[in-house]
Amino acid sequence: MRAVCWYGPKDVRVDSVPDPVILNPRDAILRVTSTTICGSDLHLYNGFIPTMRGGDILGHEFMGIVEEVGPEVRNVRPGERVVVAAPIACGRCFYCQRELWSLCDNSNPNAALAEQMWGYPPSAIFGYSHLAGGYAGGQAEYVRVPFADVGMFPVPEGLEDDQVVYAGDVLATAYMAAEFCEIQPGDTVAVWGCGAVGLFAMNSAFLLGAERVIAIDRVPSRLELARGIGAETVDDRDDVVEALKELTGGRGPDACIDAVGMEAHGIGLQGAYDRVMLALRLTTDRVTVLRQAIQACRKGGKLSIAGVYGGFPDKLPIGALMNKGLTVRTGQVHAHRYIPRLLEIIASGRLDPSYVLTHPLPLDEAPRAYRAFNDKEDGWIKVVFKPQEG
Amino acid sequence: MLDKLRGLPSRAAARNDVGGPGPLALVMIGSGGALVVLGVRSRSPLGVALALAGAGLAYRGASGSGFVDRLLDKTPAAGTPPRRAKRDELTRTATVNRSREDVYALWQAMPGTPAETLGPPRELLEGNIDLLEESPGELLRWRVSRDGGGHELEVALVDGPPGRGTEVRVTVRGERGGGSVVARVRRRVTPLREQQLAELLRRSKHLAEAGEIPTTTGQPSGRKQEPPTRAEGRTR
Repeated sequence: MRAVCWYGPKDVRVDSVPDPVILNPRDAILRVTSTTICGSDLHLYNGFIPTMRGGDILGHEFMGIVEEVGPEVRNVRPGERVVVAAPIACGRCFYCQRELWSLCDNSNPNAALAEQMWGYPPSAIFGYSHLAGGYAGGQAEYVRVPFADVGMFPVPEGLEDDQVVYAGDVLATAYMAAEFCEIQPGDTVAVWGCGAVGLFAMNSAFLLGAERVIAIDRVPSRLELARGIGAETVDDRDDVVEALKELTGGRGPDACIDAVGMEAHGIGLQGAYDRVMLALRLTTDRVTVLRQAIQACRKGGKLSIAGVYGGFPDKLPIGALMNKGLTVRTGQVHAHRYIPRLLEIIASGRLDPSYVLTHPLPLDEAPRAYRAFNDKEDGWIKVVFKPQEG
Repeated sequence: MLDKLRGLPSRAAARNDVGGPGPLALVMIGSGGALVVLGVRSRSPLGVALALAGAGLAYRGASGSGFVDRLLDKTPAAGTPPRRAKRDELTRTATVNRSREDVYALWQAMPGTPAETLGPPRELLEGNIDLLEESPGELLRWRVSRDGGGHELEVALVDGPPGRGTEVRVTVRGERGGGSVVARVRRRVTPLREQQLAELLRRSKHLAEAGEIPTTTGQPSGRKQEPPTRAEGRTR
């Protein structure tokens, strides 16, 4: 089969690789009909996530048709059309039973490695480094889905791939980020990043009752999309903290969502400082957005971190974070918790996520697509590959 | 009652029992005392500083919970059960989200679990295995002998807080020094056993909770040199 393989920073290729097979009783094999490039794939593309190995198959947001199931998978049958949760979870451990699926104890074969780095291992994630399990990802014609009895969700009839493929990751991530804000009537929510997660977080904030949403980015087409769904916008090259205070009567947003993560574009002296520190390996993550969010958020507000961070950042204003009494909520998405709810929301017509899709492409276009998406070329919001076409 | 089982200190004991003053503690108390005397005699600001430092050192030695002790792994930090209670003993603990009876049944069958399932940690159960002690639902202890050496492997189970599964404490004890000199030295200086023990515990938890051990062995990649091992690959 064909698959998108990582060979090093900014080096992805479409290779011919062996087909996946059932390895464990709770596995399934999926024929992938749609698979996306997620913003967090760019952290792998740029070499920010350690423990990648040349030849790893990428992709954690995908859906398709069930081709084959292991003997312990009894609730899904071959031929069913399903969307797959990006984190891999067993469904039976302490964490899964408390709906904290991305903290599963039993899905990561490289748990010892993650334990060394973070103290405790999180769940595995498809196609997201050996720290996250080393599982082959879904940017391929076929993919093996471990713990398929809890990680695959049948798609309601009448919904298109382009509406639901995001439910397994970015849409669920965004919804969770908005839910973390515990939005109250009258609340203003600021969202950094107008990629798919940021845009869906804005949709979710409105769905959950936000009065106002303020979007922060610099790419014109992305800011335009944000305005299209009712958000006010701030250019991130301006003084973001001052702009947010100005827009909120000097108080600051009630909740701030970081939908950018470790590769934020800094500006000015601080941006240059971050780049130097990164080049000297004295920091691992560029935390521009976190700094701004901590400074801008109103006292006692909520900080929801959906963007991915990996290591040990420099100059994080922990003093402001603590003294302002902010509530911080974080985590990789507990996708299994949100997918059924999101499929219901989409089926009811309250949200049609397909508006973010700008580039439906055959799988062979992956190298070009990664390049353009990474360069934030204007107009590139979301890439969806159709591995069975072309 | 369970706390009386061999090698399983109670939670309270694990918090408080840091042992009596050992040689290092005595040295700290002695040195600290000497610094206090020296400092008081000098009757200067430097003397005051010396006396304070000496008092602190003596207190740390007496309390047995000093940073130096922890650094040297001589005594555990308060609240931390000892992982290496003795020089020839390794312990790891995990909580398994299953009943004590289920976990006990799984460990009862562990010596017969194939290497294909357990992977490298199976080595801890390789050799002649004699069951030394069993207390249904609570304790299993085996002697594993091979090559003139061997060790004891003990599994002790206690209920977690209500609804929180079973706490499993696995101990490797009394490894005898069989094999070559190199092998003996290697056993002393490498963390291999500790890793194996941790992995054995982790894999037993995977089996008990998930019913399988997660794997990526045999999956496709662009590296191409990893053929399927459990099933034949197909070409679609």
